[in-house]
Amino acid sequence: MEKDLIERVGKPAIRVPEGYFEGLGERLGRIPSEETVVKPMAWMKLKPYLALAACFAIAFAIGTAILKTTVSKQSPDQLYNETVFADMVSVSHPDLFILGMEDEDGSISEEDIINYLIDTGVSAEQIEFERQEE
Amino acid sequence: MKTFTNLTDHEIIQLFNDGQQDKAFNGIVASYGERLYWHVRHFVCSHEDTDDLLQDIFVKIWHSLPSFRGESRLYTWLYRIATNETLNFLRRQKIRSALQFESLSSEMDRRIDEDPYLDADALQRELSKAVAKLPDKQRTVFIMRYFEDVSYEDISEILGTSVGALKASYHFAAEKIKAELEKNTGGY
Repeated sequence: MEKDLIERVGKPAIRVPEGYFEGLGERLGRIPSEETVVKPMAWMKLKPYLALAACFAIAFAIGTAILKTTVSKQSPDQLYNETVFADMVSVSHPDLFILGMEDEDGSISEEDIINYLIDTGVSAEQIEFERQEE
Repeated sequence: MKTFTNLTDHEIIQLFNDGQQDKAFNGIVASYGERLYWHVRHFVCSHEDTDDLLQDIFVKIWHSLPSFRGESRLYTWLYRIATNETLNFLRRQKIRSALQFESLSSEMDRRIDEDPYLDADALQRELSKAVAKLPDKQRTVFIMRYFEDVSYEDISEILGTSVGALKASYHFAAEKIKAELEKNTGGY
């Protein structure tokens, strides 16, 4: 097969313009002076890591900004009270505490606390004992 | 004193390792400039395009030289760069032709017919056209084996393909060329 092609067709002769190869070496030889090799500096090697760190910093800043605008500003005392009351809420009947615990002025009376303790199964003797202790 | 034209690969690498990059590069130009010209010319079928592409290839070689570790021979490394650059060039041309609603195949046919530096009879021109229509791998193997007489072992090192696979590629390429020649010349 290979011989068929070579024998019957033969290779076409390709030429170049006269004197082309004489000038080629000189022309290509100028490449080093025309093309400067840029060696990467130390900070350029760190570039991907710096970019990654910048992404994290931006994500953190955006997250903080969002939290600041969406979370209400409360003092630590208020947060503590909320937590304490949340623990006191009966899991089975939270409404019993929440609906009945506040007076009209928003404060919690001693009676509210006693009612809550009775609802949550604390004995009357124990409540009385605790009151005397105070 | 030795001139650049008769430096061996070993001497070129030695120059580079000694920090004489410019001289090493000039050694490559002197030893491989013409060989790589013919290599590229068989692919692109145009002196002007070959000239432009050769410039780009040597710029690439110059920039890649610091990364040459000597794991492969300089000769195969250079041919690999030249082949890759040439195939990329042809792929870009193919895309450009497609965007202009033309085919690269007909463009290559036109180049072969109008090439003032091609001394070929009608059958040889048909052969060149048939080669230009081959898929990349088959064309590369056929050009290197048929036109450039590169051994299968060297082609294997350049393309990173087994000798067996290269022989198969050459066989399929030759079959296609024969079919194309018979179709276009009515049997030769």
